[in-house]
Amino acid sequence: MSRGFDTERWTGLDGLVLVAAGAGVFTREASLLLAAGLGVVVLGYVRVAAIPEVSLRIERDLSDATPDPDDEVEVTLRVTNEGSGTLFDLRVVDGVPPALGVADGPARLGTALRPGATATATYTVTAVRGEHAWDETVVVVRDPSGAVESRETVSAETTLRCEPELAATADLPLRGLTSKYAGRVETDVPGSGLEFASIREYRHGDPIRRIDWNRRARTGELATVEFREERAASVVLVVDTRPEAHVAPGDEAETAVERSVDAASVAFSALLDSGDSVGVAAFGPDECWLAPSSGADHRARARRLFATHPAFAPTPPDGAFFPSVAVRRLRRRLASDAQVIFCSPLVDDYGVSVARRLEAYGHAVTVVSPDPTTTATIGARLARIERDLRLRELRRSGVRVLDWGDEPLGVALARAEAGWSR
Amino acid sequence: MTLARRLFLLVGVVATAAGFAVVAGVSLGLELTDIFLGLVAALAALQGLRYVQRRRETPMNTTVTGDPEARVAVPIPGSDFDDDLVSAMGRHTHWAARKRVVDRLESRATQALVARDGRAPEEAAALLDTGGWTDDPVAARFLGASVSIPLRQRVRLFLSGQSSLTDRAGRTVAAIERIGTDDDSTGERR
Repeated sequence: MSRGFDTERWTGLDGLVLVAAGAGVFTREASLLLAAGLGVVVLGYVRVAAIPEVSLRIERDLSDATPDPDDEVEVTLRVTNEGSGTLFDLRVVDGVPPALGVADGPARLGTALRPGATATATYTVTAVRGEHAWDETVVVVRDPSGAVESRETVSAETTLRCEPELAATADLPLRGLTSKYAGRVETDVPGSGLEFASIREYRHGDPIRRIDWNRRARTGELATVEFREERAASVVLVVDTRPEAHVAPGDEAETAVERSVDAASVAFSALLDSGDSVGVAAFGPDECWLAPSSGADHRARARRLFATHPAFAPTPPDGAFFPSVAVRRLRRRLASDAQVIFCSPLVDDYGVSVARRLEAYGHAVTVVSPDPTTTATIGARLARIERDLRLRELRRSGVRVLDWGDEPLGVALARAEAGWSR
Repeated sequence: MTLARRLFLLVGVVATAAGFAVVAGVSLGLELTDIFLGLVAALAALQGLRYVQRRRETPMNTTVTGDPEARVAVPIPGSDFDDDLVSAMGRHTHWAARKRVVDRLESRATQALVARDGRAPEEAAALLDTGGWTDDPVAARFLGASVSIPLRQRVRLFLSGQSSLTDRAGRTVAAIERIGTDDDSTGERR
């Protein structure tokens, strides 16, 4: 038997007993004295009240431990009383991972449990990308009168892992900065390719099929047609995961970081498909770096990284972060011919300065910015204006910006592409 | 247990034993007179009231569980400005917060005039001073221009309850939103 702690629920009953007794004596009313006597009995019970030793076993089952995003996963929580005493008032609150929202049913249970008996609670969570481990389950036990209470934690390890397939649902056009390898980014370098670039004087050794025979027939001179050379780019997807980027337009809405990671994973797949070498980096307290590369292994590594790396978790990080150190480190890692796709909601000025600095260092920067602003409050409207001003500032300084609202990424891209120059 | 408490306990036990003895018929020189009983009752009631009073000062001590069903809450962009607005109307942090609110709106208005309306920074500052950047006198006044609001409009604002800091800040934000858009054609009026 353990004593737990006093809930103070019955404090003051002794006062009522004394007042009732005093009034009973004073008025010679037997019923008042009797009531005071009953109070004394209750007080005695409260005095000796205790709760048995709590020994619980908790098991948790998921209907699917590796679901796809937005799938509903049924969680079954089984609580077994392994102690020797009956728990008259048992309350169990499950430690649902902070990034998961419960879609149906409370993640808690209130019951009485005989020794050896098992109670079950079922609830449904909606899966989001990431690796989610359940926290400790909180157990509150009270004696029947509620005079004493004890709080314990029981843990049962459960992990839900949601690794979305990397699907190239939108094709992200790149800027002109490329590596020396052949690929699909059209450059201004004349050579072999598909799109006409220029005609120049024939030089010895030019391939015969690139000679402009029409011109030869007209003027008798040999000339060579040149095309825009197509090369592969080396791209690093930088996701803004600073605490400032963890904002959302509403309580249940996706956070800006989640949308940034989504955009990055779509871009990753699209770029890899078109033969570019792609890397991933997080700009935030949790460090994450995947050097640009290509191939099936690289795709699998990136998929795992997007899903399970703590830097990309949907919950705000709490470590210390020194942004200027992080920018320097990122710069050191970026090859000189690497383009940067920076995914950031741009809700503060630092994101803008990061994009501008990288652009200034010669990495062609494209900013993909999920819009987390609303018009619900005055502050939110001001934040929308401020973000709009930041986007304008970036565009003015030559950075390509994709403002991604509620529409699918592909739609936003198609709209933005019209205004982009290479 | 302190000495005083021990003494009180002893007195209590002796009194209870004496009480039982008197009830059983043993004479201890004490008679259960009305006055005596009344005295005991008054003492008991007094002590009872003290206990009841103590209850009122004691909070319930119980485990509070969190809200595991909800997703982790992240702020909405701009919530810091809303917080500033609230504290600008509070009693203690009044002035500092109010200054933050006005400064932030002023710098955004300047930026918007430069970025959206194509003004030079000096021109934007001058427009803010004269209030010529907006057709809303409330917004112009809020950012420091000495524009007079017509008496009739003033009365209307007062009656509609729209004279609070929040409403003025809201109108200023709306005025900044209109900078550079088509319906700002009246912006150059003054």
